[in-house]
Amino acid sequence: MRGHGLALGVVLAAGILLMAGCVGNDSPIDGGSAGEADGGFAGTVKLGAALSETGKYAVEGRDARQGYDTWVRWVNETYGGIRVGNDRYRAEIVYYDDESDADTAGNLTQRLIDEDEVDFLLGPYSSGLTTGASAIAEANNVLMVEGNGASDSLFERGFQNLFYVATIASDYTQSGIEALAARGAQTAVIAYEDTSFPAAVAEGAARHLASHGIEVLATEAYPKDIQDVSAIMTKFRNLGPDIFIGGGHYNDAILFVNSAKELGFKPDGMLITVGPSNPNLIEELGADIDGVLGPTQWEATMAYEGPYFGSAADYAAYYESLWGEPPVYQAASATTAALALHLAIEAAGETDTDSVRAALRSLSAETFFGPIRFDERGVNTAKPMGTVQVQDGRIAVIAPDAAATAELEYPLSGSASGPAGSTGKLGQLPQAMVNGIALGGMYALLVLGFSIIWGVMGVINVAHGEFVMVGAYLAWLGNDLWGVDPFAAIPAVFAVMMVFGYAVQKGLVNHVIDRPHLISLLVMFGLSIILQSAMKLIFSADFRRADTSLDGSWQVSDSLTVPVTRFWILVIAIGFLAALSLLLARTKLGKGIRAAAQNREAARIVGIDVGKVYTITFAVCIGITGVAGALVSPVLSVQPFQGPPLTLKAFAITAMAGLGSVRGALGGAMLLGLVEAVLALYVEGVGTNLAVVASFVILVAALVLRPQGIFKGLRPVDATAS
Amino acid sequence: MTPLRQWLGGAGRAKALLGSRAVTWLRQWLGGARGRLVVRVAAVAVLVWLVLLPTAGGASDSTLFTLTLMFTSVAVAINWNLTGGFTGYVDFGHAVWFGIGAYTTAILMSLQPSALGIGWPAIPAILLGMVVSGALAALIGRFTMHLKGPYFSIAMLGTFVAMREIVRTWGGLTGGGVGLTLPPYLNRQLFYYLELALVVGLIGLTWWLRRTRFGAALVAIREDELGAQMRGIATTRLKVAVFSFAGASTGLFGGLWAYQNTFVDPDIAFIETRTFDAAMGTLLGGLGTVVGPVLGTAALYWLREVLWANLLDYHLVTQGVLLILVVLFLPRGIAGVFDRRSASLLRLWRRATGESGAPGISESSVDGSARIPLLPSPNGGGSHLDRGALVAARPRGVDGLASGSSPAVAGSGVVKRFGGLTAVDGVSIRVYPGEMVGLIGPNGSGKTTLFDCLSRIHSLDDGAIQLGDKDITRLPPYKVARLGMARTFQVIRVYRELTVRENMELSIQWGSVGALGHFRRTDEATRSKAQQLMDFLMLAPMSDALAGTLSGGQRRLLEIGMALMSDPVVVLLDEATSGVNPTLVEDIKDRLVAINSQQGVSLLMVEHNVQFVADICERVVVLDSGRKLAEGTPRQVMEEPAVVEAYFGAQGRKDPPEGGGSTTGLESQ
Repeated sequence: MRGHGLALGVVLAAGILLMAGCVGNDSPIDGGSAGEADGGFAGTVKLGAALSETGKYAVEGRDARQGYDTWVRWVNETYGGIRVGNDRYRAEIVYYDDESDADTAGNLTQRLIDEDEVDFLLGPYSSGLTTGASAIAEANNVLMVEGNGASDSLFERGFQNLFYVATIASDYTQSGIEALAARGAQTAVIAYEDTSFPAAVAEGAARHLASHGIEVLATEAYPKDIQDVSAIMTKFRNLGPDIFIGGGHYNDAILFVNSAKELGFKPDGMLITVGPSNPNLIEELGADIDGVLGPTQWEATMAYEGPYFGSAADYAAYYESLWGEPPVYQAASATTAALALHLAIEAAGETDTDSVRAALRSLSAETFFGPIRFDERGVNTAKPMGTVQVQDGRIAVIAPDAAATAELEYPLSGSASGPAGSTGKLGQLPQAMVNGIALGGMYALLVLGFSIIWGVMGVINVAHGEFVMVGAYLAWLGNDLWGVDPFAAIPAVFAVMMVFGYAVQKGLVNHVIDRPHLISLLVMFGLSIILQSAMKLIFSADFRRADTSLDGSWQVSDSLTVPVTRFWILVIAIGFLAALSLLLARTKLGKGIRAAAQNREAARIVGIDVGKVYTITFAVCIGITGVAGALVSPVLSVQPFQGPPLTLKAFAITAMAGLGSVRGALGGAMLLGLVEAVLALYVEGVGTNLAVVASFVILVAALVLRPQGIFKGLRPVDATAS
Repeated sequence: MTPLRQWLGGAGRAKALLGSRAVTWLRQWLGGARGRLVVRVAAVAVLVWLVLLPTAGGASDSTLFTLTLMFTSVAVAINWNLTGGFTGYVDFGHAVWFGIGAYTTAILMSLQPSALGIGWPAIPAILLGMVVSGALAALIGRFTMHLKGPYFSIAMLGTFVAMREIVRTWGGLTGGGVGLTLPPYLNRQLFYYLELALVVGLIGLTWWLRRTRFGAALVAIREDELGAQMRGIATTRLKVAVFSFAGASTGLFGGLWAYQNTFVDPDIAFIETRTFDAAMGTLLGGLGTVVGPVLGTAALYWLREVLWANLLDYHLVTQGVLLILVVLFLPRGIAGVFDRRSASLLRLWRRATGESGAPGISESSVDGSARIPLLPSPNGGGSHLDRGALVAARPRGVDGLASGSSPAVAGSGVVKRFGGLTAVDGVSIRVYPGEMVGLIGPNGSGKTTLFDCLSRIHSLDDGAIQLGDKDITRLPPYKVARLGMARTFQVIRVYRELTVRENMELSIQWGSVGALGHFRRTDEATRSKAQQLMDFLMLAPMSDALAGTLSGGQRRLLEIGMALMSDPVVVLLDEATSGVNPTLVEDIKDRLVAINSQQGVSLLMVEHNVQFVADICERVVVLDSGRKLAEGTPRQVMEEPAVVEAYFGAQGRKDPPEGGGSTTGLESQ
């Protein structure tokens, strides 16, 4: 740490790296330049878009890009170029990958404007990315037309250069609520993920409900990455609304459908924001999602048509001929965004920004996507939102009437409207306790392996959630390929995961056991990244769910049900806990494990093969963790990025309960489960948000107030800095 | 992994790879005069290039935008490194301060019409964001920094998640999950220059800080927090201060980011990646070095451009593999490769792969017969006790007990219990100014516990402790050290990853440094005193070696030297000769006598080597089972039947332990 030379040398090296970085890689992703042959075009209209090829929006980003490219192919090959005055111009789109990251999307938008000198911009995927990108377009006075950033807040900024061809978030539920109101729905409840887009959808839903005289009995927000919605659903069940409106993400759709089934919550109608229009998700959820409503921007079966691509069905056929798959609405709205810009350029007769902006303002067109007319905010208010209903596993458009292909089924068969049992808060306490215990059982199983590995080996396995995820995929795979019930797959998953754990221990963990905790943390963090992206490459980022025959619920009384799957998870968790306790207390191996945990050197000296103890411990713990993943695969959604929130929970429970303490794992998990369930039940509106805060407040408080841990673990907890 | 390790494990190859001539040469060249000059010129050139880039370089706004984002990441990494690298508190929630700064700025700037008009202007909003993050960091740090290691990391991760959800839930103020939109103001050049200036300033600041006593003290906390405290460093205050500074600085960049992004919501303002990128960049560059975060973050940006542009779907996999490889094979990062002291690289690598450590500098290099150099004279006014007056009035030997003059240190009726065990049971002990007192007793008799009570590591269950005329019964250890009590430890506490010289220079009398003095570099007086003491203790030849590479005996000497650096009135020596070879024991003995006779430092020593005690101590106190068994001159005590019985049991009486040298069996081991 001495020597200025070193310091400056490194600055120099940094500079060199930096220059290389800036200069080296400006080449855009190749693509979109269809119509290579210069068919007598007078020039080129250059468009640019930052789209997600990687990261969490990779799937939707790819759809949007195919939508834009559909327009490029069509305009250059079929339509004969953009007509500007008497000339025909070739269309070209420059793309960059924004990695689903807001900073990067903004940065690339700037690059498109400065370095690629695009004439116009097309939008990225998602409201979050559009926010930053459109601010840069606005500041540089470049027009941006988009079809996939729906948040209302985007259009409340008074921007002059942002136009949106689809329906904004607050109107997502409009046609669905109209249809439900027409069939006599009187009361509703709303649950939404507390992030930009779903919050705007929920706010709009409340407005539309009010305008149809439907009473909102409760509104509940919940945080991103939620793992359990049973508290919300318990509250709702006891209110007995006619309709349920909820959602935010595919993950939540799965949780809501599962939880409603577990708790026997059967409203007359369910409207879930994201999910019911996705064929993939319907396949995963099977009969459970039947009858559920969802908004859609567009479906190929809709009765729209226009002079450019023909009807919606024509567009779908053309799209499928290019890409080999039917278009989803994200693709159709992308095509429409490019089309709107195209029509405005032709109307303006030039590519000057001000003229095209004026042309967009006064644009009035009929298209396969529906009518387009922008209001003063830049939002297309002419096209209504569609609503679909899953009917016998098929997506049927039920609203608006102009586009409908089927009749709304309402009320759903077997629905039980009206308050169930006691609606008083005290009356719901038994259900909250049952939910809490069930949740605690799940947490206990999820945390056990993490706790033992930390306690025995001193390694904080931050890839824990990823081992859960791998186990869950194994169970889903067995379920999907051979129809094996996840509960029946326990021995197989345990065995496979043990082998996997053995390999990871030998290849990686062994090398970091004796090193500072930062080192082992980072190595395991590296492993978690690898597992996430490997599983995404193999299985894609689509959400999955395994099916079990141990599902549904036992009705104990009017206001008390016991979820069957979770009950059996609790039973198996207790089984594993008991077996591990016995192993540690009674067997020679268990004594060896405890000795190695207390003092590795001493254990070595008295002849315990510490290396073997570690290998066995790690393999067994990963086996248990994999089983935990298999068992939650019917309850939570299965996807590559489900791990980190689970790891965080494991951290919290272990650190407060005691390292490697079997009893602590159970006690801490139960405590957390109950706190979450009760808080979510008794705090209006934001209880679920608070439950997340609570678990970490408990953690920090436990660490600060009782640094030696609440339970006595294998390894003495000594958290105090001197 | 295993085949790779085997391949690397061939000693020749490992050396070729890590200690290769080219690297060694480069390392030395960089440290030489010409190398330094070239590096400096180049660094200035890079800076000039960065300054000219927007104007003369004609860089586009998007290049500036990329670089500005990188400056932000560099700044966050530098701040993270202040706590995670220098102080050793690995913060897994550091991004929370970024979010707080961003949100404070956004809330103020988007305020609805109110008494203040519409929204605050940017500059005061961003500055207030910085203040709020800093203040919150100080508040939260007060609690979480009592935790150590992974517990601190997790507590901060919890704080991060909790704060994000609080921001989400507190919708009235923060706009909830929908977030807040700011008035757009996108002048890339302005932000570029602003952040460039701030980052350069921040690099300069850490570079300077690392060279001050404050920075050195942070490293001492990382290396050995208890040891640092026992040597007079106010550890809690310093670590919370640096934590708060890092929070404020990251908050400042958060505010700037919010303004540039024109939009905040909980999920983009509070994003875990910011913490992980900071940690990863710092680790790649070199943890706990000034340039590590800069170099590592720049490298990370560059790597990502390469990986992400060319590997697309595989970039995350590659990044994970890269992270693992760096952690396993470059634990000191890029900066570590070129560190001149990095013979240590090979050593670290060996430690990492479980081979035995490189042999320390052999003890034979210590010339035990060398003339003992003179001790440096203590700095006047260093400690708070008036040594001169104490020494002048000092009584000698056992007579002093009755003479009624005031002792240098006195424990009266000290009781310490651990659960049901009473380790020290009402012991009273006094050491008069200038005295050398031995404390002996069988294993488990409570000697070290008594030491820990005297130096305030343990709180007492009963009794009182006086240092001079001050009651120190309830003072924290660092204050006790500042009042003139120094000690060494049975299990040696030196800062292993620092050089011998740095160890010495860190162990100054912190009481006389003062608040502002923390921000000065080590002065000439301290340096020459350290040099003199190293000469005196035969440590001069290895003054630039890492303390961790010294032999046990040398470390004992170093610990004694560190104790003397603070001009103590009393030094408590806990088994200064255990694990030391006999020749060196004689050297230590001579030097202790010299310290005592030349400077009048009182010594209280726990020893198993009874002969050693008998040779130099005027008075001996014997403990057994937590009680004082006997007290008197060495000879008196050895003849005490109770003492003999305590050591040898009843039959041992016939063989009193005198005259048998150091092999009487009274020694430990």
